[in-house]
Amino acid sequence: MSTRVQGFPAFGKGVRHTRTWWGRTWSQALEDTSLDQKPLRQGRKYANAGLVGPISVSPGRISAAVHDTDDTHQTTVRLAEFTEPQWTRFLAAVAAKAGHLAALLDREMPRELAEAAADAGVDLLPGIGDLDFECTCPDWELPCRHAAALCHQASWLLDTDPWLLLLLRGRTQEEVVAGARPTTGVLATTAYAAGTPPLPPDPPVEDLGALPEFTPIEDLDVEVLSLLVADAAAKARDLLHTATRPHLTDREDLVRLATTHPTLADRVSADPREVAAWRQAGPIGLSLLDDTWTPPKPDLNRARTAWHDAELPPATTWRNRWTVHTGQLRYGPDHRWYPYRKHDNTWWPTGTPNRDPAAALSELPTEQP
Amino acid sequence: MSSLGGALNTGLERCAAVFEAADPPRLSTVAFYGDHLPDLDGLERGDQSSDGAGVPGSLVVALPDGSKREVAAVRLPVADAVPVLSQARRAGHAHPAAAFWGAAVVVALQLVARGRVRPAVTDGDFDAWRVGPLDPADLRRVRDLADAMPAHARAIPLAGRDPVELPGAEPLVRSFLDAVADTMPRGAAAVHALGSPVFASPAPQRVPHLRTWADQGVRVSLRIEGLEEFRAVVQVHSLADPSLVVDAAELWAGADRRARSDAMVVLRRAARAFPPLERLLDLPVPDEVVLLDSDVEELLRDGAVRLAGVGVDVHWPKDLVRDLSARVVLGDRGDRPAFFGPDQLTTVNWQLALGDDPLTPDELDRLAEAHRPVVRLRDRWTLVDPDLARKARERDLKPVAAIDALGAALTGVAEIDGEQVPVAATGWLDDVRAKLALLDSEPVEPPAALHATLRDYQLRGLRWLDRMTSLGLGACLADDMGLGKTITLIALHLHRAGGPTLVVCPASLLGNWQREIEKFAPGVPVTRYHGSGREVAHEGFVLTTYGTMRVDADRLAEVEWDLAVADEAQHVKNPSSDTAKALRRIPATARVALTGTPVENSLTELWAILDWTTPGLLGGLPAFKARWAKPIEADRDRATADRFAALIRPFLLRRRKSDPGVAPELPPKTETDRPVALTREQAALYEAVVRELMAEIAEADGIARRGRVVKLLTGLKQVCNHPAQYLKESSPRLEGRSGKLELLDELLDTILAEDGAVLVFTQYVSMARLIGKHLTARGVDSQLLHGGTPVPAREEMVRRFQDGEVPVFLLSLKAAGTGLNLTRADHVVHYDRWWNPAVEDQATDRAYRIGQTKPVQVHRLVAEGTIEDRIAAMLRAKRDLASSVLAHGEAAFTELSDAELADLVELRSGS
Repeated sequence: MSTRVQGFPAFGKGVRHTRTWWGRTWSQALEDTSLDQKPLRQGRKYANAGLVGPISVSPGRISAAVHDTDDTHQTTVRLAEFTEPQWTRFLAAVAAKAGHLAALLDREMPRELAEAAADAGVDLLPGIGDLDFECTCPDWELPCRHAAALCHQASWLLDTDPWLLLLLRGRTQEEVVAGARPTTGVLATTAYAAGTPPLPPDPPVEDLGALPEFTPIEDLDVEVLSLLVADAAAKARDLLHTATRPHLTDREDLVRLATTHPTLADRVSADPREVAAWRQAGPIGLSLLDDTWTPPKPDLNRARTAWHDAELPPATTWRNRWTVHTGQLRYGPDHRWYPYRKHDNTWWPTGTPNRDPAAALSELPTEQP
Repeated sequence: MSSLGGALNTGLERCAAVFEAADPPRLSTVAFYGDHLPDLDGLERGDQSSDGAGVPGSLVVALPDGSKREVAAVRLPVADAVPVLSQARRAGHAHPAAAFWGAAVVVALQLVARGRVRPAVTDGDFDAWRVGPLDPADLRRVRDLADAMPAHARAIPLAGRDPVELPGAEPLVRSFLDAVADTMPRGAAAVHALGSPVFASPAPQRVPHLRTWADQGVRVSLRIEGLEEFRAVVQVHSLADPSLVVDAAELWAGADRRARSDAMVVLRRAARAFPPLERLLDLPVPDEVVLLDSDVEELLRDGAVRLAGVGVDVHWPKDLVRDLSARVVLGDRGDRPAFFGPDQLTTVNWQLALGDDPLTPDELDRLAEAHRPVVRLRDRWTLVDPDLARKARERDLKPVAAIDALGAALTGVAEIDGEQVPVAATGWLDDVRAKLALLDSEPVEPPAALHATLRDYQLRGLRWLDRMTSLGLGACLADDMGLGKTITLIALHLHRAGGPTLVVCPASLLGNWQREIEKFAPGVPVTRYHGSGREVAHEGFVLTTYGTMRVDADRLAEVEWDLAVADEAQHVKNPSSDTAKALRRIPATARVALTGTPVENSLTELWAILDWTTPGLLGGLPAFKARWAKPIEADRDRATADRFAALIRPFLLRRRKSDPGVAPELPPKTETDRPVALTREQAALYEAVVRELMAEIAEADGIARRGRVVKLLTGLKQVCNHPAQYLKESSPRLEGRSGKLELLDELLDTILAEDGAVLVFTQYVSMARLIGKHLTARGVDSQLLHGGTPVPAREEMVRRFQDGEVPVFLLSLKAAGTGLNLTRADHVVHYDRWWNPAVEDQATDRAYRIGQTKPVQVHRLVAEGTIEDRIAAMLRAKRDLASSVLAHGEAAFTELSDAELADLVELRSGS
């Protein structure tokens, strides 16, 4: 119902009468506007004969094709949309009584609402001269019989759905319902006079409860949706502790999710090496997996000294990677050494990083050359 | 994206912060403004921030003096504002408004950390995560937080308000919580994992099609509050999460527009059902409405029921006592009536009770004078239905007939002014009710004059009959056939030792009654009021048929019967029949109906019987149909059926052969001779055959004589069976011509009603065919086995009988040789006599043999006053002839002299 253009099949052949007070007010506006009764009568005949094609209603206009004996004419009836301030006043009138919206939702236009709106200077229903007509026919009457026919059918349409009147005025049902929410305001002066009350204590952090279960629905994997809730809970917990929010690249985010929710690893096509790297040290661990860098000289000197002092086996070094047989330490930008181990010709992150290369190397099983 | 260091370094936490809600919520922003706004000269206004420091712009805020002013501001998307505000919560130097939203961030994150988020569809059809469900502690927390919101945190003036207004704090907090929650589950990984951006991507997704899924509607209830003054508070329940209940005020403060719309539609319907709620619809927020006392009364009267009809429950305050109830007290004053005639009246009063505790007269007076729907009783506020107050005022009701009072006492429910009201029986009525409730309360000695030992269940039946008849209430004994209803009734007659007993029964049972009375109560006069020249005896047992009774009801009504008995009472099941009407005209101190068919299966049938035995108990037929038959039979109303069972239970005793209290007492095999009278046609034919053939016999000698004797015996047996058999009629009318056939019908009706199975033996295939034809015409399935039946067909018949497909198995005695196992049968009928007990036993044993678990009843049909009767007597007495018959079969008779033969075959009346 939120779409701003709505189409309706027109009424077929048959004599109908406008049933509601708002439908009759609409018809009255048509009659009052017209200077000549003849096209009105013809229009009613056309409407009763079912000569009106599908009707489309959108803000400010109703249009349809009307079939005449010789030709089919495109006819439009216009009604001014409410301005923003008019809508504000009108919605305030709707919001004043819960019953107004309740009635509208029951497809009834409360007379009292129209009166209240009128009191606020907003006329919901058209009066004399408020309806404008356009038609592709060569007739010069206003309205022509085609526009009159459309107007008659429109009054029947309004009978069944007063929301169309609001759509004509510029808002969909959804928008009206949303906008008519009573905003219980507080006088600015009162609010300021209240000063700054003390804040209540923060709630204690509680564990994640049972994951919500969602009703299954097509096109949406509700089990994953539940896991997203769990993931959000973990992120919220981190945020509560650190008061910072890490900004991750898409790749980082994928690997992170695959690590925290292994069941989702396949769905995000995460590489197990990446997951291992993330598990080792989050974003830095991931960056060391494929990237190399050349540490600055002082760092390298410190490293060599530490290596020597610890009487570690000689290593083959290339940029930040120091290799000993099937073991390797990678030097990170955080001055820590990240242990790696070779499996099937691939380096895998293993164990925890350490500032002390000896400690980092001890994470790897010692192998004799 | 970069880190937030830049934003923090700019010192935004020192600024006032105001929340600007957007749709979807994750697009909401937090605007920082005020004196400490960092110098952002390097940025063009309106440019997207390059380092997360925010977007510079301006903002219209309300000032403490109520004016508005445009000020410079920096906006951060809510996701980026979260860390800034979190730190503002921790920083001592933060602006109170920033610290406030920081506290709100903590509340939001705490909810998310507990998994309290759910997918929703926003007003603009966007996918959004919202906080929820919120439990009462959460709601309290949100309210406490809202109470602490400083004006600076909501300084953006509401549109179109003069003087200037700021948004309400609680709705704003709720939108903020939703905004924070909406950012949390999203990200690139979420999109990948879900395979869809919906509810996963930070970018807005339009999902109007998911609205129904995300939001499953609401239910509305009213919570009544207050005692001195009542208020109806509107509560809204989520159908998706039944534990989620919020007051309408709460719902209107939240973002759930769909729930509001749904609730509104329900409220409008509710207002139609209960007009005082219309006042709710006049409010901007339909949160609660004051109820006048008259409204509460209406709610109590039927408002709550009508509301329930539109799905709106009413919850009363817990501390309001609501178990004030009314019941009628019957039999409070006066003595037990000697009999339960329509003129015997008994008192009826209202009794009001709190729980089970009746109100004192004093309390009743207070109630009667109450002008409000709540009354202080026993130190507690008590809700008083206006109807109850009226009952307190009009305590005495119109007296009712004693029998109606008894009915009400038994069902526990009385109908007063069309309303079903619980009943309490007191005084004599409670006595009677208690007596009726106990079957074995009063031991009864078996009458000394009874020449038999009653089995235990028969003795129980006697006690019961005695109690019911001595209370002046009739009864219906509906035991299975074979349990000894006749002997029990004879015992009752002896025990009562009152006036004469009238027994009305089908003609075919007259003989049986007479024999049993003579056998078990020798010396008690027994007369048949039947046939021509009948006279009514005024003593002992008078036996008559339904037909005779119908004709002579007025004559029978002149006798002061102590007991009137209707045997096979299902014969008067049609209450509009002349027979039933005639039966009702015969007065008796007590009435007893006997039947072997399960009358309780047809309520109208039961009504007809009990309305005779105990007039008035079940009310008139139309009322009975409306109150009992329709709800039970058509509507299958369990509660009504239970009440009805309670009502009739004392008046109807039905024991089954299989009942645990009965079965052990039954012998495995019971053999009964069933005497039947010949019809007039049979009697005439019988005498004609005797005359004709005796003359022939007198004229013949030797083999010719022997042949004629056999012809005579065979002819007489056939006449006893059925005239049509003897006359070899080709397409005979069978109805009403044979006493045996009528009795067979009686037996079969009862047996089939009990769901029994029966073997019917006859010596003559021709008779078996006649019976089969007759049964088919009556709609009874049967099959015939005779000597000519081929073996495979025989086996198939046995199978069908054993499987319960055919309840009646006709067999010619000769055919029923060996190899038949018919243990399904619980009845065996010997339609005619073989005059050789051994052969009969062999036939009977088809049914009664190893594997049989049910007792078997054997019925031997004997035509009264005929040769059958006489030979049966001889067999019983085991006289000489009997042994010679045993030795030689029918051939033995051929040696009898003419005189002996004449004596044997002569038709005698009576027995």
